[in-house]
Amino acid sequence: MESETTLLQVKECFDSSPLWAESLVSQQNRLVLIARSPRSVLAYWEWTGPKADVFRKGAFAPEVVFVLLRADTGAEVFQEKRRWDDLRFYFTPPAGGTYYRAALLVSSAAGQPHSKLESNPVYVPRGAAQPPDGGCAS
Amino acid sequence: MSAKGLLSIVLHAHVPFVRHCEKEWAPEEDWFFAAVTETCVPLIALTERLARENMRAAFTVSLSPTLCAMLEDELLAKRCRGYAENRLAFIDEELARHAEDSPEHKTALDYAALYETALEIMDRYSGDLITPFKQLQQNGLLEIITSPATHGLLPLLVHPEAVRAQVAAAAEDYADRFSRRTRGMWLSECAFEPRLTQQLQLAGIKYFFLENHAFSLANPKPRCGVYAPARLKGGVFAWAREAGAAARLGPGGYAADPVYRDFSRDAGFDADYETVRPYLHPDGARRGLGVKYHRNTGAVPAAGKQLYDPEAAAARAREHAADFLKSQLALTEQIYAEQGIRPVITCACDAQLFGRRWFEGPQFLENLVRAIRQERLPIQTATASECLEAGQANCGDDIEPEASSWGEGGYFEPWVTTASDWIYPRVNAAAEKMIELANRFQFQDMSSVEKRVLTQAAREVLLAQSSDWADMMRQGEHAEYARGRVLGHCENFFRLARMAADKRTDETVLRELEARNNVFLNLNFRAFASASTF
Repeated sequence: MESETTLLQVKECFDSSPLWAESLVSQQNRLVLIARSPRSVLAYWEWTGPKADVFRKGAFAPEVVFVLLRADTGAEVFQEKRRWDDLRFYFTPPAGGTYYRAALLVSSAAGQPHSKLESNPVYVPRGAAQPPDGGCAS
Repeated sequence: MSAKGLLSIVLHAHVPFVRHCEKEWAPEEDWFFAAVTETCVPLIALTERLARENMRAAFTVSLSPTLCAMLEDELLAKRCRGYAENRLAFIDEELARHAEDSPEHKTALDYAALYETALEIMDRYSGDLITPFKQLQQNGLLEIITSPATHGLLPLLVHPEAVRAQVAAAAEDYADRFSRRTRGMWLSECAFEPRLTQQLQLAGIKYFFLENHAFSLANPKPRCGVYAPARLKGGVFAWAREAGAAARLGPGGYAADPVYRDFSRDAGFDADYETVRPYLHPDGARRGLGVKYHRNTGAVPAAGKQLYDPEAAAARAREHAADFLKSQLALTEQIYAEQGIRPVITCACDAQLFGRRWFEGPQFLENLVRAIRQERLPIQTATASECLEAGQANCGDDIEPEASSWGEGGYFEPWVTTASDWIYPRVNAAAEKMIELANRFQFQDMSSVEKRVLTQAAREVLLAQSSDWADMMRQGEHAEYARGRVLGHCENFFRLARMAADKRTDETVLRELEARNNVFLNLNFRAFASASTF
């Protein structure tokens, strides 16, 4: 059956390569923020095949600049250099109870600004003095 | 007796969609069968029993749409019957193996009664267990509410359209199934962030439930704390779990009493292999067979657990019901004295704790309702809608609850770990593509086959979004199954998306996916459109 084959292929795919590396080639260039808690946000990004090739061939600088901004004012909160193929990292936002967005700045190999990926806005929860217990009953 | 306070007992029942029609048997279907036999049926039975004595449970039961789909599925009904019969056959053997005056024999009789009741109720409703819930709601004995379509963790879905699809698909599915609109929604894992309010309002949701720090960190704080509903902008209401009641009814509360039945030890693992072999799945792997002879006992290794005594456990369930009511009455008096209101105490729990994990949980619930009536206590159980009607005068100003969940740590970390974070690029990319397709095709004339392709594509995206997969990856035990499900649904989605975009349908594949992942029969793919209306 067709779907059996699909599941088999999927399993082989999982067994043979790290799942994050598979998202290296996407249909779109994309930067996404996901808030996990007042203290932790996941940022991930994806490149299309042609874009990834440009990085690989050295036409773009291998370092990209991740910039965190307040979504309401646009004020820059921090920036950090990452490798283009890091694809994800976790960071601690400076404060909760607010919306953030981010940008990923790409430069040419010569250091000229080239393009910018922009993220979704994300709400980071306001934290309690003590982390709440959570009451999950399961 | 007029009540000084209201007890809102809210039980959330959910099982991910684990129907595997493509296989003769699948161990994951046992999760559903256990939920049916150990939680759903006991809940139906106790509500009916109380009603026969003119008592009203008045619980609010959240049945997730995936659980509902399975509760009325003919294939699963047949397999669930086989599951219960298999267990009864094993119990018969156990009854013969243990002397009539032995503790094991007495305990095995309890299990026989459990599965006999399950078969009796399944037969009475021809295997469709939505019908009794629907009738109990129509008779005013329970209130049934829904939860996001596939238990998607809404704050982690980055596209508003995807959030809306989870909420709208659930609301529509409920309306189809229960012949009325849902008033309440149990947010998966009580996970909330401020942007959800509008989505819930758009889907016609009147109220939902939150963890208590959503209120303690709210802006402004609700006037009556967790003891009244809080009104949010747009007229939606939220309830927060009362921490003390949650602790008593949680897994570390009454359920952990040494007298109660232990969940982990099971004759399926303890008995001789030759004894259990005929009752195992064809792979022969040992598994729980639902016959558990031991009690919690206390902080001892599994081997040191003592034998279970059903009568002692039943007596303890009565004591615990009395203790719970005493504590809630004291709280009611205190809140009345401090705030001058008739409080609503929201006791919101995972339904599967009652019966499945806490074997005596259904007895506890039944004892609670009986004690209120028989002792004429000035407190009563009431459905969430009744509590809303009674408590909304105490709301005060509109609030914005804080983002939160009931998971470990109180936010969303359990569902985004290094074991599961790879899910999100896939699931979000699929949602983005689905939104693009819905926007492109929503006003186009399409053949019925083209519509079916888009509808199945929408089903596959929803199924990939279930919070259960990330949870299983974190816990590790079923991680590989969960990985297969996420990757499989995304793969199915992109295959269907290609068919839709190219207008070239492979009907064999389409039919097979429709047969396999047959949730939300009346799903409208336009729920994913950016300007969808419902």
